[in-house]
Amino acid sequence: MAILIAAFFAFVLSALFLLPLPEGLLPAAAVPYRDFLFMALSLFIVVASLLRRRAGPAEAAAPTSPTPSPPPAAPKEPPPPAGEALVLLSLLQEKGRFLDFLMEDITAYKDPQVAAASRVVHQGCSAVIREFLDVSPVHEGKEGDRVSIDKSAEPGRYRMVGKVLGEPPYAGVVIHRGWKTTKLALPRITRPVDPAGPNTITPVEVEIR
Amino acid sequence: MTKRFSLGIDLGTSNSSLSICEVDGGHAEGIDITQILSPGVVGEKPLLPSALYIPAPGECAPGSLDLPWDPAGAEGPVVGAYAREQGALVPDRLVASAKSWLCNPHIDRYAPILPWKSELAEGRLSPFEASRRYLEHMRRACEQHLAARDAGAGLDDCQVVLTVPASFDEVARTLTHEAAAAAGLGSVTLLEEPQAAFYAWIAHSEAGRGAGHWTEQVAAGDLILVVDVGGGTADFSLIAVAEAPDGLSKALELHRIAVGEHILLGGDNMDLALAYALQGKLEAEGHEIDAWQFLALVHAARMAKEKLLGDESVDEVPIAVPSRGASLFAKTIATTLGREEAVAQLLEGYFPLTRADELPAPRKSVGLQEYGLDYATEPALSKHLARFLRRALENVKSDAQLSALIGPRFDAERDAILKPTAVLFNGGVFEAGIFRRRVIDLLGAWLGAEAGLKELESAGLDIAVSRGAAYYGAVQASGKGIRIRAGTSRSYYLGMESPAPAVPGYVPPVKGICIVPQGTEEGTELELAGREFGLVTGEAVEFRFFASEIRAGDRVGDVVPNAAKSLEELSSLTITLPPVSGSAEPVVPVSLHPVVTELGTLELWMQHTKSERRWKLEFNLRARD
Repeated sequence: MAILIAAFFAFVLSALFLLPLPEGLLPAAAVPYRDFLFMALSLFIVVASLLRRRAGPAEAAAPTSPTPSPPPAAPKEPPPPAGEALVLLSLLQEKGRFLDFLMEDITAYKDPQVAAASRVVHQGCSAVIREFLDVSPVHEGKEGDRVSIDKSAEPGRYRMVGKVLGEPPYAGVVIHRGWKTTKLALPRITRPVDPAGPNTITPVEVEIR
Repeated sequence: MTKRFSLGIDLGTSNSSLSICEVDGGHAEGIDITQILSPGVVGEKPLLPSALYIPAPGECAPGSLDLPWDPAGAEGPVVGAYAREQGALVPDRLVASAKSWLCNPHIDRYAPILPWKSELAEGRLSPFEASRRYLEHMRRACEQHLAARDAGAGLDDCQVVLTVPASFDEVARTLTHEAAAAAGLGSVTLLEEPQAAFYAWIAHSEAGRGAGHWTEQVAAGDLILVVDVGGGTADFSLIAVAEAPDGLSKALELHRIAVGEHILLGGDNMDLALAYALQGKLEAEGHEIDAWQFLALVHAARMAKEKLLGDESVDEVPIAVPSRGASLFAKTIATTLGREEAVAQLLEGYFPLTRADELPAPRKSVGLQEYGLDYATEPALSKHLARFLRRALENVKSDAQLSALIGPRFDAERDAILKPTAVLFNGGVFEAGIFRRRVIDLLGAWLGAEAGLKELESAGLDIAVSRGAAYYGAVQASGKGIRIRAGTSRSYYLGMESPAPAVPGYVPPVKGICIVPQGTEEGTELELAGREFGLVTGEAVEFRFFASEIRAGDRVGDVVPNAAKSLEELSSLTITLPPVSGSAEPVVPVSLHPVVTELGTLELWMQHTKSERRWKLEFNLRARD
């Protein structure tokens, strides 16, 4: 389940940013929100894949990852990975209207409307992230810094792109600083989750009069 | 039994917190409190919102509100984050501010009256029961923490300190103490919240994290004002620094010399004030704000307040309020909150630069008015502070010992207020430096140009109270470290009708006889000598009971001529004596023995003058009109 979500967001992400967008298509006013969206989505992917890694199912050889994953550790407790993704999604929706934001067709709206909505999403989702995770950049310097990656580098810290030839150390330039979290105190779901069945993320809200 | 841990519990009006400290030289640290975040979701938060929600039958799936320590399928009210969020939208089922109800003398605090004014037919709770449930939740969270920390540790290994507002009277303190016992916490020690914040400052400085050791930051003769403005209440205290009486060791003593009245005014009022202003703005633009959007507006106002007050480079914060439906883009309404607006609303509304002789308007008597929470009608905290310092001066003047303690720090002839030399802030409101600076400026204007005023560095405004309580518990358990000399914050009086010839139309005033002087230390037994009561056995006898926080000079047996006028009346006291064996007389001669227990509670005992038998007077909480 989590991997599906991650793949879905990776897809959205690539659709949004990796495709070369003509200048005029994205108005200047929307640029800050594009960055924010990028941050939110990459965070979600980080978290979702972390959750997946914690659960550690054996078939986890992630097709999106260029490096082979380390041998999975034996699971210590029976975790409901789908449940954790569900909790995170419901928190992001409840506090930051995350699904409302993503599931609606945005084409018809004017930029000020998108801007106002994205403030709601930014305020709520970042509060959730800040409360349950402790997120900071992996690379403490700036983008554009020159780094050298040698053999002793912590596996998984760098993703190398471009001309990766020969033996380490590799010299390169930081394109993105990466994100890490030093805390993973996500709430736990106590209701049963059926990975195959319909699972309510947020309930129907009815005002009783 | 020696205690290994000290547990500090801050049972707040809007949020509660929990800290633990190892008795042998540990530092107090917070315990994250496990709570329901939504049905079927459990998580930890550093604070437990003091809110309780009574779910409708069948509202949540069975078991979805169970906490890890609950037996499966437990039913009943839910406490904490989910209770606050869900309850905000279903006010008939939300219990809030239970602590303020607990100290409301106009209601029966054991009666199921909460949620107040709710149309809920069943399942309502008493202020006592709601408080008990918050405390029980924290006891469970603590037990869970102890079990994870050290398999063998339990609550028996803990010295438990529970904080109460300094403004709580004896009745509210007794009720809190009882609620803690009923929550399974045993016999807890009570500590005043501003004192707890002060202990947190001491602990902070001793750990080398402040501006030097506390004995270097203050000196004998200093008078420290503790200003504690939480979410729902404001609480003031004054602590005097004196030289230890031996005069050789250069040791310092701390005396808590004055406490304020209970003021229902705090940070939540500020958020509401901003939200109302924003609502007015949006409605003027033709938007309608429903109840749900108003809550979102309050939330947004709080965030905007923190941003504007915390970062002076920000001039304006955009506010976006979504509608409840899924259409985020079409229905989100937007406005802005500007710095000037916020500052005018909050700084000039709550901390105006008033003169020291501007006091809050006198309270209306509650006589025929409908009972509810006695919210402060005067929003200017500056005026409440002026009133506190004025009354503190009155208190000091009334007592020669206190006057000697403060010594040259005040001029009884010229001063109108007691003048502090240092300030310690507490409560989330003071996260904003602008409010701290304003209070300093305000006091500076009152004190005169020549007086310097120090600001003591707080150890964390939101959590200091429970941290300080845990530190105090460790001091108490180990016997090492400084203790603030405080004793009872008020003096207490028994009402006595004076015998007078019947004159039509004239009701003789009730005299108040002092039974416990202010500052009576814990572990003291007093005796009201020379006054014997003749009590008829088998009949309930009722005594009127009064208190004052500004009559430090009264000693046991002193008489206040008109109690109803110069003292504050609390719940009455009752006693029903059983027949005394071996005595044929229905009237039993007794003398009164007030006891201030080691735990900080007050007990009044009637002692049979002819035997060792004694009976305890109880507060009459069930009926009062």
